[in-house]
Amino acid sequence: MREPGFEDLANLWQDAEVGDRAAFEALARRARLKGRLLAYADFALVLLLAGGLLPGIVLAPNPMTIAAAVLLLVATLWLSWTRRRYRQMAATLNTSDPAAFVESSVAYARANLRRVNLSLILTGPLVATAIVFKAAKRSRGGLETLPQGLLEWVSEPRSWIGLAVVALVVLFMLRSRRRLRGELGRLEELRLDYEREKRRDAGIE
Amino acid sequence: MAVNGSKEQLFAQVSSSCMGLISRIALSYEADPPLRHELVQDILLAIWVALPNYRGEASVKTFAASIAQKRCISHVSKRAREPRQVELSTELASAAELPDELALRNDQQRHLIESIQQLPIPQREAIVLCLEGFSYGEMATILGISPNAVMTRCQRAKSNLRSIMGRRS
Repeated sequence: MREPGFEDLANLWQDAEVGDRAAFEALARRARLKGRLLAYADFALVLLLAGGLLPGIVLAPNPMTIAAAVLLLVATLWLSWTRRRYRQMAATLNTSDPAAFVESSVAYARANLRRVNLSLILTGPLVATAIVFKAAKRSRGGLETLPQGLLEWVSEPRSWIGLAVVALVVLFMLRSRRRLRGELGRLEELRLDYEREKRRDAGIE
Repeated sequence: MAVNGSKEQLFAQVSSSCMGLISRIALSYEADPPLRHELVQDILLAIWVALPNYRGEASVKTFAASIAQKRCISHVSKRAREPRQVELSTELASAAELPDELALRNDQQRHLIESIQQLPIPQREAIVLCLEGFSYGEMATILGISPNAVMTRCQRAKSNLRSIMGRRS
């Protein structure tokens, strides 16, 4: 087999038509639809909150309204998360070149990591304060009866459900932190690669 | 938007004229077909999002390549674990050729793609653009470096690609 020249390699490369046009067109349609929906995400969030709050004020609590409230909460969180990702993507795309893009991605990853770390640090004290507040409410604010209030609070299954939810949130944050650390590490490596390549381009290395 | 045509028209233009380009850029970063499929979708969404910033200073192809490269970098940096070594499928097969020629060509193509995937990202970007037939000027726009720097980077990438291909064969 003869050693192919660069022209041969280019022909070989350009011949690699991956996938078929119909599938690509379908992807393009889906991306366009998703892009359009995301553009209205802010508006949808306002509608969702207003639409959820108004019946909440008027209707008495019952299993249906509680289920609706949970659904509303999940939808709000999902929408907020999607808006954040969308904005982050839009902001980093505005950079002119890949090296600058990596720089801004590093800055975003660092900011996200700081946010997750702060949330993790604050979760403990906030949960402890909330528990003490609940117990104090039961003991009518008396310091002497606070341990009794705490014991009462702990004996309720609802408290354990609440604590389980908090534990799940903490686990989710720990997972996010691990991922963000990995991403940050890879981005830092990439930044070094670009710097090295830039030095070589200039003939320094 | 400072260019002629609506966002819809521009997007239609990108998706009709840059299918091969976008798919091959994604291929140079992701070997796993389902993940590559997601990556292509992500690139298309990013192009849609970035279209209002397109001023028409560069060609649509240059614009699409620039966005695609950036999304691929994000994809690689967000990857939770090291990429699996996936055997590239025979979907890479090209025009009607004799079975032996076709098999040889597919083998060479697979060899080339796997070697490109091993290059460091800054060189991979340069070599992919080179193979796609972009001029040094266009590549300079996409990579944000001078045309001279593009030339030296391409030389380095070509020589690295050859040595990887040599080692693998």
